[in-house]
Amino acid sequence: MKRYMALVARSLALLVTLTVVNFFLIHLVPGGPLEVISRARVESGAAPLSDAERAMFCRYYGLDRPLGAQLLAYVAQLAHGDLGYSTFFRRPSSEIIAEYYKRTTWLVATGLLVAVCTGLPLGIVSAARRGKWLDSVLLAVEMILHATPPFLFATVALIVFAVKLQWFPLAGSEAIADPGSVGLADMLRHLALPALSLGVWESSTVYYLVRNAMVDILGEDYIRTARAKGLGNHEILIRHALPALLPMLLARFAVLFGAAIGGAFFAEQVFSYPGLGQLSLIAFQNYDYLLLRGIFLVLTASILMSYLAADLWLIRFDAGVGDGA
Amino acid sequence: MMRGFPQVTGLTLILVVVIATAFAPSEPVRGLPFQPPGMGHLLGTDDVGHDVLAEVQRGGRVSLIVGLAVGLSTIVLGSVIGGLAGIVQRLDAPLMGMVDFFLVIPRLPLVILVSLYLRPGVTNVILLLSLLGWPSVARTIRPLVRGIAQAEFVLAARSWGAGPLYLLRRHVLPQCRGVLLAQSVFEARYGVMAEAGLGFLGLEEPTTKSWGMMMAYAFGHPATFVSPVWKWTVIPPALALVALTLGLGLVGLGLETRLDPRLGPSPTSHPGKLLEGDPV
Repeated sequence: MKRYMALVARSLALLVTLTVVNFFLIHLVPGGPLEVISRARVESGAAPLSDAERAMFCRYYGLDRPLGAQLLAYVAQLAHGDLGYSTFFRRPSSEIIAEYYKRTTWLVATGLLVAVCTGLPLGIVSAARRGKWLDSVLLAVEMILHATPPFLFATVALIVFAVKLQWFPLAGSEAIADPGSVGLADMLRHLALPALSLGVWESSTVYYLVRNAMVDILGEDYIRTARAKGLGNHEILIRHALPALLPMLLARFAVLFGAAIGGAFFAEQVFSYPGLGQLSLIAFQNYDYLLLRGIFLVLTASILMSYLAADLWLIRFDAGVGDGA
Repeated sequence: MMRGFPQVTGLTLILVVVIATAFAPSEPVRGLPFQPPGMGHLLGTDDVGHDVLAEVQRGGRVSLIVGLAVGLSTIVLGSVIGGLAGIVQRLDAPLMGMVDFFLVIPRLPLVILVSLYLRPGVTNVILLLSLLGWPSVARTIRPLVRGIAQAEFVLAARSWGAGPLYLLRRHVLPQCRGVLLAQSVFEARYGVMAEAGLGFLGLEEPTTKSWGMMMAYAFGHPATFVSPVWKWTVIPPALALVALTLGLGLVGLGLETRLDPRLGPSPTSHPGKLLEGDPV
């Protein structure tokens, strides 16, 4: 129980620190918030902010108060689930983030599914044939896949399947002509290529994880016992080795999830898939720093949650977590 | 895989990139836009008429600098902090607490988001990646240092009054050379990849053209999708990038299997142990 509490406490501390860092990052933005408002007004043809208006905005956003007070106000705001008002979308940030978050979740989940469906069997085969030619070939291929940056898979998929073969749409998350009405099939058609490229990129990581863990497991005494009992290779792999592999793999899923979110940024960029990565670029290009701050917070919080879940899960199996390693 | 094969291939790949970069022209070589590869321009020209070969060579400088700097700074920070945690009992808990702290921060999304705030030049990319990269080195090095610190020659040095920093520098860290080297090669590889990613997302200074940026420009141009220009605007920087990351990965892998005695009798037993947690 003590270890559970320690883990939860650590995650909370990390979350608080990241929130504070996040709060201060916005003050490093070149120009500052008033400059941003002023620039937006000039671009829309109005006069730049007058001094009186500056003072008014300063008071309105609380920028005239000390940093500490601003931080407290920010935390109080967060406690009410308020992520601030998006100046670009002219709606509360939380609504917009929720909308885009849903699509990123679909992308990441499908991508991880692809990664596991390819990486897991290949890893097991490779470990079972350790040192044979099949293992060497797989290792070499996965090594090259692992050296390829995530955005390359996406661009290759885009050129081959969307531009040349035209099997899948080029961009977006739903048909432009008729948004929202075509339903699941249309959504999956738009999801296919980004998720596939994300999945292929992640699958080499899954492959290495599975292969190395499996090599360890196959060296255990109970596997030898099973072999001595006369069990066949398949039986040993499925009945004895796989159950030992799965908890560890599930725990590493959190790590994969964090990586997948980063990789999803690239897939979203190449396919103009409207997820959180695209949203943060939109926010950035339009000086919508409150929205950007909200995205940062939501992303880090969800990745931290997945790490926490993985750690708690590992403790259940007492896989040597928390011994200071 | 044959013994020694990964290192040789990897080193060759890295050397090719380094040599090509060393002979990079200092100014872009200009010509007509979208010339196919030929005598005048060996790899053709891009949308603004820059010679692609020259641009790839010039872009390599950014990747190499980032890789080298990230590799060096993570190895220094990581070995000092991990080493102190392993050798000075009192510092162990606080330092490793800090390491745990940094380790759980998701790297790639964080680097991208912070770049959005700060629009980094090469220096900022290096700083960010080093700041997030050293904890994994420290974590690998600490148990090794702990083991070596128990050895009798270290006790002897301690007994005539050697301080922790002297012990680390003179007696302990030289023993961990191999592992440190392998780990920093992986960190360098990660740095190269992350830098290219930032360039691809358009989050770098537009004045220093990198491979990621070259690909971003190529894909930003409609001609890439309707004509064969992608063959010489996209493939060269992509290949260069893969060659460098693959080279670094292979060298790291070779060092890892060679130097870590736990990795077993067969050289193919556990390659890529360090690659597992890599992309986060």
